[in-house]
Amino acid sequence: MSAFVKHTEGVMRGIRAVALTLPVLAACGSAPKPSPQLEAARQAYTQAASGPAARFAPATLNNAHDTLLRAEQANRNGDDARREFADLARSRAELADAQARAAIATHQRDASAITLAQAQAQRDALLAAAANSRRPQQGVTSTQPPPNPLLGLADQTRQSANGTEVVIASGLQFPKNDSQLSPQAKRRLDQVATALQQTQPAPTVTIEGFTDASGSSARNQELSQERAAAVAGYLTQKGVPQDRVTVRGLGPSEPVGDNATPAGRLGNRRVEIHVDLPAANQ
Amino acid sequence: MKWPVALLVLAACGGSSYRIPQSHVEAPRQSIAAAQQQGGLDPRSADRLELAKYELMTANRLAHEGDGRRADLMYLRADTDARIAAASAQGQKASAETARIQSDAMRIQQQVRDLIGGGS
Repeated sequence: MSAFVKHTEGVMRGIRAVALTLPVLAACGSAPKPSPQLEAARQAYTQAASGPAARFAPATLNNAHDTLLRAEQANRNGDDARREFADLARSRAELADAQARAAIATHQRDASAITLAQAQAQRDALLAAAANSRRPQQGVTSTQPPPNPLLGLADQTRQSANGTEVVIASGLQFPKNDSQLSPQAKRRLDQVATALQQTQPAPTVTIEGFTDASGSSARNQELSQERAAAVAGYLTQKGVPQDRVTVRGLGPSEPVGDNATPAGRLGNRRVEIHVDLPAANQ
Repeated sequence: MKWPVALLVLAACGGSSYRIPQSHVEAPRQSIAAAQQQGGLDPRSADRLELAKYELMTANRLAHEGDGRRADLMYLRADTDARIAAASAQGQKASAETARIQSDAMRIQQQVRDLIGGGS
């Protein structure tokens, strides 16, 4: 008896399962199979919607969504233009993705431009502060309109036993622990070399190198000498007579800026060119 | 007698009374022109632009054949693909500019570090 009941229940379960499945199977059978174009459109939309388009190109993404719904409807209805609808939906999804990526790239470019502008401003401020940190020295007189080109390049002029001592220092700063001439320094030295060659008889030139107060005394002495030698080498290479040039390394002595500040230290990492200009040459 | 004539005209027009909005016809031409004006398109964007041109030609042919509904969809697709070409080119250019700007910024930031640095 119980075996009969079990058998009957098993049969009934089978009938119920078939009864539940039949409508689904029937529905599947009646639904038109999606075309490859529609499959591609669905995939393109899914990809766009899960990417940056939702945030950066929402209007285009919505448009793509609406077009995809039209394509689904056209597919269900067996519309003649169902493939065209699907292709359009895919293109619009790809457009949303492309617009979003372009917006991100543009944003990154603008952000980089801001970073660059900030870095340039910071560098220019440091250079300006270094130039301003030079303390006025005793015996300084204001420069006059230059009858001699060296006077036109002078940062300072002082009365000397023979005439006038011209001091050229601006634009001759160095990075830390470095004696390489910057492009700015070379441009400045080109002007100095030309002016020296225009001055006859050739004046005596003393080139003094300096460092900031950081580091060991021995290294600073060496570095200041290297800086002065680099300037002297460049000038002689440009035609200034070597026998008229004297080089001195003075380490951190005679600071012109505050060694406690970056700008001050930069101002101290310098070379000064002293030209003894006889009165007859002025 | 008039009805058969009207039916014949309709048949000659492909049997369709679908009117393509003028804006749909003009949009792809404008989008293609805009993409071309960007100049120097990368290969991918250039390919997309060529596709848009081909679709525009196809749309014109369909319209000429009287298949207005398909032609309309093809005009819309040509417009979309031309805009993809423009957006893609814009993104590529912006990325290239970003790389150049970042390189400049890194160089200047190094200069700043050198200027600020505490060494002699």
